[in-house]
Amino acid sequence: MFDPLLAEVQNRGRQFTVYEGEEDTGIPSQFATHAVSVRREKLPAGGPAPFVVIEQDDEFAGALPVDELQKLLEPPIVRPGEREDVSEGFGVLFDVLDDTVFTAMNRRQLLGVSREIEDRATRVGTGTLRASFQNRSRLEPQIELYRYLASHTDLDIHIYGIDPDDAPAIPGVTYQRGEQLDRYWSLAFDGGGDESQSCALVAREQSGGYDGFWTYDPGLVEEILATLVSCDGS
Amino acid sequence: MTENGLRETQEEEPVGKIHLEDDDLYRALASTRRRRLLYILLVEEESTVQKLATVLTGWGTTETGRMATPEDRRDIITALEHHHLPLLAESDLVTYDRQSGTVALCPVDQAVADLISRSVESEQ
Repeated sequence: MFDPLLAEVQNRGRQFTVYEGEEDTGIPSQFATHAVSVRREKLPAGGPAPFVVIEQDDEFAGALPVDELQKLLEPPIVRPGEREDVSEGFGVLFDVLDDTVFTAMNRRQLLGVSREIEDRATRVGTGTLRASFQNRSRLEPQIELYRYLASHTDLDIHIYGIDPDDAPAIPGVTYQRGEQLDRYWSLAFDGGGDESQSCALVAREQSGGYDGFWTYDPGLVEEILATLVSCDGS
Repeated sequence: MTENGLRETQEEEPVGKIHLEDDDLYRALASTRRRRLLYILLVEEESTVQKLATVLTGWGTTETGRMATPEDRRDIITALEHHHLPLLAESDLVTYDRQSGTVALCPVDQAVADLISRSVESEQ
């Protein structure tokens, strides 16, 4: 169900090239969990300070010195509000930072990421939260949390992947059938009217754990929400 | 090294067409952009206008500290194609194929290579 989206996130045509001298800038490892390919080019020792060239679909989008990039990466990462006003290089950079990709994550780690999204939805208190579970047993440890969310917030909560006839009753939670979700763990919050609060997680179970990504990109969150809505077979 | 000594060295190992005493060399080195371009070619030997423009754009940001834009890079490409590369080709420092965009450093004396390196490294 989510395979096209997972493939799209892995391969978004972004390329960073770090021009660095003898000293390792550490930039490639800092982007290891993001959907961007990072390569190195050697600069002569007496040449310029290290810099990074940002490309999208083989086109130059921007370049900036490594020390400026490091400043931007220091938390809290301040994201520009209006993307249209931002120069192309920053646009690609923040898009890269919006998505975190992972491989071979275990259930405990995924629960941690899920908790982040659920906490954010709780703080905002309104909007739509859609979650899919591989089966009923995966939902069971979460029932109390969803009971709390449904009773203490105005969130519109939809759970997919479990037969509504067989689902534990949680007042305020709507069950949707959801086809072909047994390999996926997904959770998406629309931000409750504030795009900057939207976030989502998509993971696919493989033999060695879960592969996938989480994102703060409102457009991608919207796609994940729409994918869940569309898989409701009822 | 005496002036005579230098001449003798060059006569023994003539490399390239441009030498330390040529005025063309100093004209070529009169621009920061050309000095940097030659410096990059000392390492790369052969490159393209596109690649050179990318490195020169990135190099520029290390001084301004701001994000360079595709327009910044396009301006550099224009300056390279219409000004800097024809001048360097005329001085026999590079060969430049307009069709393919390939740029290659001509063979130069070690003394010329050293001068190019020093002229850039002293700015850093």
